Amino acid sequence: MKRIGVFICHCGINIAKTVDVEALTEEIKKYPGVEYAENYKYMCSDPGQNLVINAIKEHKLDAVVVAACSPTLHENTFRNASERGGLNRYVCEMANIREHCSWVHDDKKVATKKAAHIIKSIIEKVKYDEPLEPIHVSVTKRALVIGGGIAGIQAALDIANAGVETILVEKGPSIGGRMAQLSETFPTLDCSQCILTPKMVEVSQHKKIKLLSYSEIEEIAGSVGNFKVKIKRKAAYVDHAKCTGCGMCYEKCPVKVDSEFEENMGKRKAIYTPFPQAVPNKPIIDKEHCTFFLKPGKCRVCQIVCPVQAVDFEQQDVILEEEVGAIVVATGFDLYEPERLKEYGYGTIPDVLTSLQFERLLSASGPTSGDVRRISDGKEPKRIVFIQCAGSRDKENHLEYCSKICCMYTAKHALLYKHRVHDGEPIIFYIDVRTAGKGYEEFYNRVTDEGATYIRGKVSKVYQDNGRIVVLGADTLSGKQIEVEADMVVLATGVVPTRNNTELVRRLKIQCDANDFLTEAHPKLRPVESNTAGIYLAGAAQGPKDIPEVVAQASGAASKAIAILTQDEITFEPTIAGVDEDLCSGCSICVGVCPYNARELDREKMVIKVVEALCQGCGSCSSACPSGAAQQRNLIDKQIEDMVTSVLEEK
Amino acid sequence: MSLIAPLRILAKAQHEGERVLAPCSICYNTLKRANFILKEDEETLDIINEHLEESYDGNETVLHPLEFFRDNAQLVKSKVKKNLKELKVGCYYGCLLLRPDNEIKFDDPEKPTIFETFVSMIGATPIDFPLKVECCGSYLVVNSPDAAVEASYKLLRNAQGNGADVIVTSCPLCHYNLDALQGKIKKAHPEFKEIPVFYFSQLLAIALGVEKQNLGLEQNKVSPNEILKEYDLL
Amino acid sequence: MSENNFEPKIIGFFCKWCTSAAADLAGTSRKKYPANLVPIRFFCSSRIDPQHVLHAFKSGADGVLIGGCHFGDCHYQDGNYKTARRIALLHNLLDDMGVSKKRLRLEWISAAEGDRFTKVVREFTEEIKKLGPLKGNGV
Repeated sequence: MKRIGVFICHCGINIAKTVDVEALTEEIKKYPGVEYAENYKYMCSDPGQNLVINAIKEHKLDAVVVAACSPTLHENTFRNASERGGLNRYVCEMANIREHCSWVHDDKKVATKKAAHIIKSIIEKVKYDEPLEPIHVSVTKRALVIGGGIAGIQAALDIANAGVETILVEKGPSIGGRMAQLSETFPTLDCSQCILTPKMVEVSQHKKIKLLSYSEIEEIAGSVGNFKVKIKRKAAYVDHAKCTGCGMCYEKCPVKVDSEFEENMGKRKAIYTPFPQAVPNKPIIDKEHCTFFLKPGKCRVCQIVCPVQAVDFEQQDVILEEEVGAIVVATGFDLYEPERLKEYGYGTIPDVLTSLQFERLLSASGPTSGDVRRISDGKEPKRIVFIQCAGSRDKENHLEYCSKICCMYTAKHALLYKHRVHDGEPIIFYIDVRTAGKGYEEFYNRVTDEGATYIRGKVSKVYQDNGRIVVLGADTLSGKQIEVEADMVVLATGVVPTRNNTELVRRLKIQCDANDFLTEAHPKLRPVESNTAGIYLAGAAQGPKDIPEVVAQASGAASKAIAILTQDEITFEPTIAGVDEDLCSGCSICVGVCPYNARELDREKMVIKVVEALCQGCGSCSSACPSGAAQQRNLIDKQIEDMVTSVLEEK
Repeated sequence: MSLIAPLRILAKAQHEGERVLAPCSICYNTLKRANFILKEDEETLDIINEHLEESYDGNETVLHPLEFFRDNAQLVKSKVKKNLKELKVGCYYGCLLLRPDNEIKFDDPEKPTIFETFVSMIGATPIDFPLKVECCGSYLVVNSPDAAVEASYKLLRNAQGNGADVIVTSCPLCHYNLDALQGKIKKAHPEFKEIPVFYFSQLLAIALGVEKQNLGLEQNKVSPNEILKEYDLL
Repeated sequence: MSENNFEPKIIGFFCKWCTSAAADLAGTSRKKYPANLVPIRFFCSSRIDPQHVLHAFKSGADGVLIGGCHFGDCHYQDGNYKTARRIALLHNLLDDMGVSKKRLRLEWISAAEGDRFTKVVREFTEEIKKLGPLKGNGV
């Protein structure tokens, strides 16, 4: 039986005016379990706190109730005081007799009676409070960053610069992501490769970064501070340790394949690096197109010409096992499938392109060395129609949301086109022009000044008639239908999160929203954290955004990771849920109910076990459990029922 | 309320045990959509059934003749008597036959082919043209006739530009707009050359060798007689 | 109005992030409401087991008020959805048991809604007064 001390605060006249603290103290003294009770003017003051400390020592108290204001204000104050008195902080509770009582009632008799009920209910609670210790988790001081675009690159650099070893995993043969495909970036028209490649090189040379390119995540186990990750290094069929990047192999390779990097507008070889500034600048063999694999024995040209014998057709996938303490997910974006916009003719009309394809046309290292040329006949297009919101902001048929970057990059496309083709005519169909960033509105004004025509209206059809491309649209500002003949059409296609990511998301146990973007813990206040402790989000994988926002978010995610990874151990509040293995039958109802995946079935013992570092202590499992095996610590069913009984008993 | 009319028809048809064949695009559209709406909304179906003489269970099949022909191609081909090979027919679908796609599911709403299949089936040469699924102006012809004139002009010009001798359609309102408005089109666009517009049943009847007086050609404001004579089809 | 001298006993099960905070705000704003309701604080409304509610009724409560966060605001992501489902089922059960559904009320009250909290407590207390003591209706 606990020896409970109760301390009733006057709070000046805030409580004492409406609650008869003296009579209350006398009543509480008589309540079963109360060893000691007193009242004082200001319990939160130093003398007040000392009363608690002294009483604990003098009367050998092993539980404390402070009846005063709301626990949101002083729970920590009194728990700290109790600790100084030698008591476990979790056996100290507060009873709110101010906000919930003295401040909201007028009648002293009524208020005093209610205050008595409130205090008694907390006394009943504290009777079954257990002394708890915060949960300590030791931390593996390494980070994993998934995705090697600008988001992943930035996050990896920030974490590594803080002195923490970082593994950067990228599924393609090179890091760089979408930014490497861009020609120039808005609004400064910086050459994208020029500002990106220094960061890429920094990653490859950083002592604290282990770059695993052409690799994928196979398995993730564990929780914050202690993740165990299996990473598959896919067979490149080239020994990168020997390879010098001389390029003889792909120069001589006889097989030409549509280049993914060039958005299928240019070719690469079966043995290739995706682009000249690739990091690492070591080729891989695309097994699905390589003659050696398709027709065994028919071709070994690359192996023969390689001066250092780096080509190894026997190479196998390798599984690496790594331990890390925190993970940053930066898996980037794809474009919405333009074929779904059937009325725009993508795929049937050769000169209808996506924005990324146009970007490659503009790029000096692209398939046309930066000359803007029609795909069909190689001629210079004299008029290009740009269609904004191709697939975005279309609730009924396509994507409901705004893809954020398209207004700016279309303006950029129009400007760059004008720079290349001086007598070219860019015409842009828009719904709105969204230019919310720094320098963006100014950029847009420049673009209209330099000759881009903006028409407010949607395009209903793009078709080919007798060799011309006809764009049928509306000009809402003049109220007319408009027919424009164009040499080329560029679709500002919507942004979607990288496809085929569901497996990875499932393995990480993080959530996606209805559009498959990764869900942040809170849309306003926690934009870089996922719901799973220790896993952070960065970049377009979490939502469409431009490069400055991506970089900012990546640094934000890195700082969250660093906060964990620079400590030897992290602690969590222990008022979490547990498992009484004697009562647990392994029915697993609680597993489905937990929003944090903090409960797992132990198939050997057929009972549930709790991943303590993930449990946030909501108690959903406790109320779902049919046998009472799942109980939230210090808020077990018995405590709740006793609290209820004590409030309702007696007059 | 608007569902009672189509449902009465479907209920009666179900009662007689037949499928429903709707040779008019607008009727087809209305009946098919009524079916679709009620598949999702049993409560409304129950309410309406209370007002009908015969009750309807939502399962009556609604067909367009083009679907029927497609599914019975051999039968149709075997009955063709005339040689329409030289006749270049622009297939005009219009709107209601195809949209809304998720409720009608008749054919690809951007690039349909069922009409071209029909035209080939009866031995004529189908002409594809990009504006074959665009609107003719529909009932705007009543209160904004200029809009209908312009819309129909664009379609006809597009079909002609792609080589069509004649147009075929499956909606009486489209037929009216494309056919009867050609006088007004010519006034607004003097360079416009008139082009005959057939209802698909007329074209089928011609192919099957039906006698001239039963083809209803006098109903076509733009007379097809000249071109039919030219290809020896009368 | 009613000349009832009956003073109902009402238990409030409130989540600490929203409804309990709203009650705090009502107190700070010095709003006044009847003292029949005694609050019990949970981390999340999803901790509330229907058996706690039944225990309350059995032990002498005439009414039970449950307060959680608005949908989308739950500190623990989706606890309030679970509560909504559980209480919906419990309402049906109470019906079968012959206990008026009106004695169990579920409200979503955010931490900013001190006024609304006050209004709900007043209304609920008044309603339970009219319904009379539960013991009289048998449980």
